[in-house]
Amino acid sequence: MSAGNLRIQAISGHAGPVPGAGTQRQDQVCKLIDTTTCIGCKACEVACLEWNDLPFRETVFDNTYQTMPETAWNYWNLIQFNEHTAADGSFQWLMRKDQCMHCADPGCLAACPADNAIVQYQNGIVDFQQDYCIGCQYCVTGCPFNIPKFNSHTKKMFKCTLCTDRVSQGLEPACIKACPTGCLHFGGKEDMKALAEMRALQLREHTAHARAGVYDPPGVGGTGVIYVLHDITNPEAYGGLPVNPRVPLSVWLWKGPLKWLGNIAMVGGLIGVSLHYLRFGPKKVDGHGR
Amino acid sequence: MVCEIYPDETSEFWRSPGVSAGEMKQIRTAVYRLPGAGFAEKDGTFVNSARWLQWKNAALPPPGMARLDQEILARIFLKVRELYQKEGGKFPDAILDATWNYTDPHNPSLAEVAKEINGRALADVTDEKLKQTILRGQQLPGFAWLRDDGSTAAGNWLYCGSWTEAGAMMQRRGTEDPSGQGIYANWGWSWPANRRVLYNRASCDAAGVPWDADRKQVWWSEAQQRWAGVDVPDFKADSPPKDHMGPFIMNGEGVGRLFAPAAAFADGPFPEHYEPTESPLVNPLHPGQSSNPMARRFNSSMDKLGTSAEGYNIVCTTFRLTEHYHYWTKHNPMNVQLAPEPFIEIPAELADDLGLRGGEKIKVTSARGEYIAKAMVTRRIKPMQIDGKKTYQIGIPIHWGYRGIAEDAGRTALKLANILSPAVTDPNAYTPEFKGFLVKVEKV
Repeated sequence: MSAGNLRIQAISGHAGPVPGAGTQRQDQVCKLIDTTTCIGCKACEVACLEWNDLPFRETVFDNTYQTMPETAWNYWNLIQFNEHTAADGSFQWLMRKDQCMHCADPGCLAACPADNAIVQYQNGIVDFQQDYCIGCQYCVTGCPFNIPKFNSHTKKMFKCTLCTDRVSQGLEPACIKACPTGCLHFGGKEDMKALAEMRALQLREHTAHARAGVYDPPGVGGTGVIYVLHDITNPEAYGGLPVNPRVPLSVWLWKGPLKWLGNIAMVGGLIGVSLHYLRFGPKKVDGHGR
Repeated sequence: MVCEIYPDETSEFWRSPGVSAGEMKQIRTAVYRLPGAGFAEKDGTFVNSARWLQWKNAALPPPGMARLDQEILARIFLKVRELYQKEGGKFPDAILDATWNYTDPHNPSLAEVAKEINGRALADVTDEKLKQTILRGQQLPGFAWLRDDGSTAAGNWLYCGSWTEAGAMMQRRGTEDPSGQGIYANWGWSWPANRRVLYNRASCDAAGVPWDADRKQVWWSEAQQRWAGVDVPDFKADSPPKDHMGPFIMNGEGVGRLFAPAAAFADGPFPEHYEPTESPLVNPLHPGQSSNPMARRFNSSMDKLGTSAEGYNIVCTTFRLTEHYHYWTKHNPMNVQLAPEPFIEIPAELADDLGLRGGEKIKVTSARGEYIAKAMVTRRIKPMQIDGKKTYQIGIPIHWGYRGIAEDAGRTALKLANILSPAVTDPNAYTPEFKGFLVKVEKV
């Protein structure tokens, strides 16, 4: 990994091509989370806070080991704890590290109207640029994973950066470094995918988890964060991980057909007005009018 | 006198809940808390249960007036020595003549201390058999060089070889493992003699040939007439298999034991199952002696035992969280936000019986005291069926007391979980029986 990995691939709300796009193919980076070996120690939560210099947040006991109900503008990495009883009566305590999934087709970026507020680097990292953020929160609508969070004081959006500052210097993200069980891995997307598939196969063949599989949802073009799940058919048991996440239809319509319809309507309107002018000339105001 | 980085229950016992201002004045114990340094503020070693000495560097200096442990100890020692020099004493030699040859006598470096513990020659020492001589002042290469005639000095024979003339063995970071067996002989240093697997002679048959040809640890080399291996052989190196020296060299018999010799354990030579001193059932193996008759007990007013007949019929266990470290991290905001307050885990079925929802407060009472905290209602702890009876178990994490972020903010009942547990200990290791005892539970 090098600083070259922070070449930009896509820019929010940007007219025209991305400068330097397509000049060089970059490796996609990927975080692999093996939920079957996570012990829910939350070392990754602390590492995230420490590395990103995020402040202490007061929490209250809420009948769970989960630190807070969902991620926050200053809490980007959260283990979701879920007690799950399967149809056959078997019981599991599921722990899933929740953070930005760094989608290949990021809904947040598609929904964002502010030029440059959200960028996707060629290595796959989706990053918010607070300097350009206008605080409209449209990215919230675009995200199928409930990740972008609003700071009402600064009126800016925040989320996990996949530690772009570390990754661009050849280091792994802070959460990966802190994990004591090795359930977190970091590397190229293809390598991580292969490792994940191998682990899922091992679980299917050597444990009772016959439906173990890899979560890398195609609906958002695949993700830069992938999971090994005990049961790939039921990701929702892990604290609302969607079965088939997609960029919402409204965002797709708005940024796709509607945008073009709007453009056509605008251009059409201009052409109509011009034709009207040429055909009928300027509107003459009746000199006797009131 | 304590050396701590945070206020703790031991040194602030006089502030425990229920002690009135008048009673505090009656306490005639003076408490001195010395401002020590945290683990990340010190260099030195972490020694793990695989016996590895692993050197670490200080990450940052101690804050404010805090001092490294060795500086605190050195300053006290030098002051005491000064007093002995001035005023004398009954037996001043041990203080006045102690070797204290550190570069900075007021703040000895731990590297110097580690070298001292390894040991060095005080005079030239010769091994006739090896035809080698260690010169006066040199670091000793291993404990076989220690002499009982005053010609060598070492802090601990087990650590002899950890910091030799070749350098700091405990600071090595070699990750090579040529045998592929996870030996990592050049990572740190393992006591004794950098031996990674104890009793590794047992990996060979009587003839000194490894049981598993694919995973050879040590073997008898006929050519060298010595034991060789990918690990340091845990054996008399030149004792041939035909001499039948047993592999378990620390046992008199040289072999593993099926039972312990008489007097080795207070409660007899064979393993035995006993119920805890407080148990919801009578030991079905031998009802006449349900719990361990040799368990150590105390006889104060705090050492009462309860029975199911008295209504103490819920099993309680205490445990620790990954989010906290003993009674220490309750002072650290990062840990406190992960697990902010004390709680008690109770089975969902018991919560239903009590008409209780998660987050509501409950009181747990044993024959010795009470504990109050919010309930964590969970399906992870299932009721047990014991001898046909439904028996509930609850669990209490131990990490709170009466000083800490949550405590100082008034968010706790200022109780200690170990008020509930009995001070009954195993008769050999003296491990306390905090994992199983009897309580009552009620809604507050």
